[in-house]
Amino acid sequence: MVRLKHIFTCIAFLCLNITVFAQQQEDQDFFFRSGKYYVVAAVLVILFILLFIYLRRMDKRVKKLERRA
Amino acid sequence: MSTFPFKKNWWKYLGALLVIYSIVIGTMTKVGPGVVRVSPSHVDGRYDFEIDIEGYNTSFTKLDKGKNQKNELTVWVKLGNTFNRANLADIIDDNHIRCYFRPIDLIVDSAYSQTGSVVIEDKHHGIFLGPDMIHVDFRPDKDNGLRQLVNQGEPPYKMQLSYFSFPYRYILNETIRNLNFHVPMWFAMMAMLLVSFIFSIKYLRTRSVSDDIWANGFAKVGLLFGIMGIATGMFWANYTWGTPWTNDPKLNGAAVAVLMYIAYQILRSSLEDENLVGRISAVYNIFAFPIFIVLIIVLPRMAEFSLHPGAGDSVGFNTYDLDNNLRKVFYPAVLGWILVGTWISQLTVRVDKLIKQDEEWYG
Repeated sequence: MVRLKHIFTCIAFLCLNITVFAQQQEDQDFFFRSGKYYVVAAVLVILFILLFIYLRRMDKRVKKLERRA
Repeated sequence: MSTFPFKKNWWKYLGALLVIYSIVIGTMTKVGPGVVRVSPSHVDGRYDFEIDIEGYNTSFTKLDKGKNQKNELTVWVKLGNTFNRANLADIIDDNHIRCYFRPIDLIVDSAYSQTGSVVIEDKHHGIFLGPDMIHVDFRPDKDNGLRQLVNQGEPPYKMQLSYFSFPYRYILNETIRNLNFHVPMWFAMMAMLLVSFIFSIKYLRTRSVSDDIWANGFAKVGLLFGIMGIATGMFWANYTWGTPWTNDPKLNGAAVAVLMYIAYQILRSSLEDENLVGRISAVYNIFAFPIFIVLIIVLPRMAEFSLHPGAGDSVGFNTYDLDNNLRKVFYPAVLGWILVGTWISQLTVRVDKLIKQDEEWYG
């Protein structure tokens, strides 16, 4: 139990470290890095998530049809 | 009966192929070098002057700094149709150079200032430019009324980069690629809604339930593309314009258009009688489509100011896509998404027809 506590404290401190690091980088948002390339990636992800949602809804309607038959 | 898969549904394969092509090429192609900043941006052209140029995606340190430098890196300030070549270009680091110019002599009668572009020829990249980045002042010289252009260098051979790349745009940087993913959504939406409009007209003539289902299927996918366009546009705008939503005429028009077609779906689901659904929604659709076109194309074009290209005084495609590389990806993407959208519409229609059939049989 004590060991677990130590591990948690350790992780908490690590997280603190990360937040401090993040604060240093605050002026450079993730999406502003590498010439804003991640914005392109995110746009593609949004595109496919929406397409997926639409197809999933159609899938559900077909499933309902299948159950009734 | 042919088992050859391309025979009847070749357009589905073509659509998928074009979308894949546009995503692969659209994400893999490098954004070419560009000029981010020129400082000072205002110089006096009568005297020797020096400018610092900050580049994007440039690799100046790869160039030979020795005596062959003249063939490796050349910088011009382009004023009108004259190219004024820099005497010397010092490489500071990969993205910075300092250029020294001799006085630019022009024959002028009165105080005069001209905006010029910076043109850079680099052995690795070819020729690229920073349009309208420097202002050069001239004042008349009383002593020598008539002077010649002494510093006019050889103009660059061909205004082109030596490899396939997308143009660099200030602030947009790598997100210029989004043109191939965001804009085709609107083209696909327009295509889907046009087909839906045609089926609505056909329905009013034939009163066949099938036409109504087709009109609805295409309207649904058109709405999907509209939502996809708005979502991608908002994300892109957040990192280039600084805010997800501005009072841009195109944005507001698109939002109203999407709401209009959401209303179409609500209208359909709110009516019970089948004939009534068909007739009322067909009439609604026939009125909605021209309004949609006005909102999304005509009004933004008439607006005095828009952040989107092609309206008022903003720049369009032509001004920055020097070697048409964006178009080589953009047009296939438009066609690809239209074909894929048609495919999804067809699937929707098939499901809707089955549901209709099911309701008729089982109640």
